[in-house]
Amino acid sequence: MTLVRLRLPLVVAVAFILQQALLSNLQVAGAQPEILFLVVILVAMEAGPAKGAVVGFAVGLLIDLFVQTPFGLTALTLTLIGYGTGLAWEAVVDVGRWLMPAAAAVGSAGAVVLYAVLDALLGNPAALHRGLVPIVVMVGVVNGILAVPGAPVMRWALGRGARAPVPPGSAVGASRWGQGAGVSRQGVGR
Amino acid sequence: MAISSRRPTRTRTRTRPRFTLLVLVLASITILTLWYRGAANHWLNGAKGWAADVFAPVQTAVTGAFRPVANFFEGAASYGSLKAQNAKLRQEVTALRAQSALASTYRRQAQALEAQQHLAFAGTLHQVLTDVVAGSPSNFQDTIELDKGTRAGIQVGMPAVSGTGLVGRVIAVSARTSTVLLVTDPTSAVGVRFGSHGTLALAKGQGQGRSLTVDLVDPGTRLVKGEVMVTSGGQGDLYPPGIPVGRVESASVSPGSLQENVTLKPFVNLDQLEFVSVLKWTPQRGAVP
Repeated sequence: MTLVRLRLPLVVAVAFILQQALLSNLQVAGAQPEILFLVVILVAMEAGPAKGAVVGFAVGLLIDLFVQTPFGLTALTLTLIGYGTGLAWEAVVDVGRWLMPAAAAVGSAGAVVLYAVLDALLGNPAALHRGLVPIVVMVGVVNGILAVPGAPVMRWALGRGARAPVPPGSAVGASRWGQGAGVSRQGVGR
Repeated sequence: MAISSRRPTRTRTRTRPRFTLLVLVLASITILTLWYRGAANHWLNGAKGWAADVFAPVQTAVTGAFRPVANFFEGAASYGSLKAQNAKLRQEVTALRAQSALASTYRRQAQALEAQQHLAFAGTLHQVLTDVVAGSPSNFQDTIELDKGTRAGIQVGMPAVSGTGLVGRVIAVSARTSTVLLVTDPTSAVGVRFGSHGTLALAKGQGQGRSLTVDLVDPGTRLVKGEVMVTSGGQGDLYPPGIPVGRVESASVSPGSLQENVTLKPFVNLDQLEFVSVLKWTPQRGAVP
């Protein structure tokens, strides 16, 4: 039980180290992947908007510690993205195989745009520059692809085993996040 | 019974995430406000410096372990162009040797001139040689991480150069690491000088891997492709004078425009930096011993 709770921080830590030490050096057209955005989006899809927002805030603060952009901006962006993704995913009725990576791609690309827009609104118009286009494309595509292997990892991290995700929108789905980490809810109503 | 007990649960689960969202958004905005007002910057910079120092050894170890992997992908992707590049580079070396001899004469002259104006010349400043340990940790800033910090005498505001040209300036420093904002970052602006009259202009970053654009060049100003622009180093400028920034890549005038559209290609290949020298000079104090 306690060990299960440590899985998510472990996944975040590994993703963070990969991002900082490896992905920051793999740049194409001035853009690099942002796998921590993907972590937040997958949490939101698996565990709902509340947990998505909390994990988004925490991951955002962690990122903010290591960058020189306005402190708290990543936290704000990822809080909104975590909540929005969780909410949107719950409203989805039919989960096709392609929908999850597509949604992860759209959510990640949206996070980049939201960040730049917020930064510009807060008085840095240079944030909306031409170089943003390859960044949006790169982050969206890479996260969409990585969402496929990422989803089972996230289910493991949240203590949900490797079974198929609960259909969103159902009564069980709606109350998934009502029980904290959702660990004890496994199998309820099935 | 079952229905009546379910209803409150449902209301609670509907309102709870919204409340969580509200709290977290307010928390983020509070933190942002503190940052913008500079109220907690001392505390914040302390936390950031501490985080950077703690993470630095992990970063170095992991980057070192993954470097062969990264190199492999880079090499595999660009093998074809490497051969052609090699031949071209050999040619360039010959040409540059000749230019270098000529340049040393000019440098002596420039140095003498700068000394007369009581301005520090970049070539005479003390330097700290550093390793570049990582690129930017984020898409939203164009920076590099260096392996030395305040312990080596590096301070915020010091310019960073590599071989022939300007790289950027230090924007954050901890005991063992420092962060350099590259000239290509959209928030970077460098005062530059060019031509025989020393015309002044402003070179602004356009994002990673892109050329700089040069503002404030009057239409009709004669500009040759390949012309060199150097830091102007006026009063209160962010850089000392005379550091080469880049070469003019293109220049054109749109009808009705009040300035020329000039793009500047940085001298330094900012994507493949391995070593960078930090000049001991700050905008406030000038040369630092």
